[in-house]
Amino acid sequence: MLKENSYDQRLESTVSTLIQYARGNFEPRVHLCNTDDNLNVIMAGLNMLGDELQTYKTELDTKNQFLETILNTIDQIVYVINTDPQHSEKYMRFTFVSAPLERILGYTPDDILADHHALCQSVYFEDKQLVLDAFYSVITTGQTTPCTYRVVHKHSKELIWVEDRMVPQKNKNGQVVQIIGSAKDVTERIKAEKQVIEQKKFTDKILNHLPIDVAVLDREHRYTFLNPAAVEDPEMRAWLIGRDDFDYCQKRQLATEIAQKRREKLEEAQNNGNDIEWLDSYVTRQGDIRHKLRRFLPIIEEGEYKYSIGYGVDITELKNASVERERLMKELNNKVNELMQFNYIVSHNLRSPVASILGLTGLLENGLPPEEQQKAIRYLANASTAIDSTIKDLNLILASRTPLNEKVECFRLSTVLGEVSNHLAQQILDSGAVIQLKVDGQNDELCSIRSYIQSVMHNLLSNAIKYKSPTRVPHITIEMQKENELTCIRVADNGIGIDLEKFGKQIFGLYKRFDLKTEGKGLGLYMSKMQLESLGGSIAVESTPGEGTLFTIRL
Amino acid sequence: MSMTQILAIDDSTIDNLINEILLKKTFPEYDLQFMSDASEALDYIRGHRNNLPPIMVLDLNMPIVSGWEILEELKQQNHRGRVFLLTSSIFKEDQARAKKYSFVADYFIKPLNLQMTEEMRAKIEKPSN
Repeated sequence: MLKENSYDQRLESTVSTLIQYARGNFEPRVHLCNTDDNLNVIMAGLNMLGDELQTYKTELDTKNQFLETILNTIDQIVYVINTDPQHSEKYMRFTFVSAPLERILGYTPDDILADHHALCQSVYFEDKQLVLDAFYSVITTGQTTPCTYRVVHKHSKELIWVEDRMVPQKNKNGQVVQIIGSAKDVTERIKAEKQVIEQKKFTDKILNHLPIDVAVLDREHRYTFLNPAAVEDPEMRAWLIGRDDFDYCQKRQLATEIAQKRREKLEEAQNNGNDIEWLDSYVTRQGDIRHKLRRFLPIIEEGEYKYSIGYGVDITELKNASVERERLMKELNNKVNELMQFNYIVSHNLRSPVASILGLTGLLENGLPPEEQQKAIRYLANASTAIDSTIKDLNLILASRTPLNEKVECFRLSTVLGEVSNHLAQQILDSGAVIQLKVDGQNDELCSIRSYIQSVMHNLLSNAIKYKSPTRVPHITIEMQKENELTCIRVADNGIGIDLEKFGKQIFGLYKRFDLKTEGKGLGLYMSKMQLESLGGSIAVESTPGEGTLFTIRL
Repeated sequence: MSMTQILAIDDSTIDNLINEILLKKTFPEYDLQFMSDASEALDYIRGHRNNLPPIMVLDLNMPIVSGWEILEELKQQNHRGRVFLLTSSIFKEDQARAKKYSFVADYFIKPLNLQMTEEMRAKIEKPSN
């Protein structure tokens, strides 16, 4: 049986329910009774209000839950700071911090709500002023302010880069009373950016300090990049961007061929799509010859030619060294050959009369008939003379190889030929030889060691007369002309000639003789060759037996 | 039966005299021939194929035609006789090169003396194999 409560009891129950509602607890309901009075109506209304409030609360909780889930899910720390512009500019209170705080910086939202300065203190000391400035700027200007700074992680103590966006909320008077911030972890991005910057610095440093020319040329062969090794002058480097090699050559007053050659190679690389390497030898403004090993690397993306990278390494020193090495090798080789020849001379020509003397003395010791004894003694004298003569020849040959004391001077070939003709006057007269000098151009001037040229001309002319045809009057023609940078002297005769197929290799050899009917030691042509070679020149021979011989000297 | 022929080729008049005196002493019963012009000697050898003196004494270092050319000619003829080389050269390469010819019996360095000619004789009289 339902027990009826007193009025007072009902009133009390109503008030305590209201108090619960006021505290946010919408669970309790009041117990209605059968008494039809005003209190009962109020109590019924209160119960309906409770139902309503409970529904709202559930709805609100759901929404809160939803909001929290969102805030937890997004990878940002959302926070709310209340300010008090009325009282203090420095007043600040965190009223909300979203959960990702812990994931990003190690602090829990409760840490911050308990100690409002904990987060400020965790900002990396170098960036503290920056953050404060940004904060006050938001308050004073009322503008949304972004700020990127570092925070020390609560546990790992690592520096975390944070990009913070502070949005001010204002009151009716336009004063900022609240700041809603959203901060995200940008450490990876900043690191990547820094790395890119470092990388660029690094590549710039390499490109700027490499002793290699580096250039990038676009599709129209214009420069889009040049390093200091390619063009030293920074102004010129800047000027060249957007211009091509023809512009450059014109500006620097260099030969157009330089640009032409580069353009050809670049187009070849562009058309073939392959690297191309070539030796670029050119004359600089200072007049030096430089050798650069260049390479074009065409860059093709998705089947389309985009641009080319050009490299150039200066190999002038290397090339000069290799030329010098070749020259030294050749000289060394010549010296070895000369030594071999000397060895040969000593073992043959010097040894030969020595052997004769030994043989003769052996015979004399054993006793000879008187007339043979006389002969042997005469022969002894002959052999001794032969030794003496060979030693003198050797001395002459050695002297011809060391042109140390001889000076280079300029003289006329005709003058030297006149002197030689005087020396050979008797032979010329006896043979009736006709000697003719033909000079190409007006000048027969020659700069060389005069005594050597005289000796060479003497040998060649005296040979031409000595080996004259028995049926013809000797005709000797000396022609002088310039061939490129060389002086060419040709001495042609109409003498007996020489079978070069048979003796070709030996004609300039020492003590080589090809005609025993004529006197001679086989020294002249050897000496001439030595002298010309020591002058850096050469001598060559052509001949038709029975018709004549042509010697060609190049100096 | 005619006397066995020895042909000595040397361009040096002095050495020819020495050769003549010593060879005559060692080979009194032989027919000795001397030539001082190597070109002439080469012509003679070319003209007497299969009819050459069985013994030759040859100098190597001569102008125009050297002893080497004569050796080459003899090689072409497949020469069966014996050749003694007699040279003033102390160039070792010459000796090595000369030994490549099968008919070269010995290599002497000038001056020629009686000991050498006796050696030649000993080689000649030893029955060849």
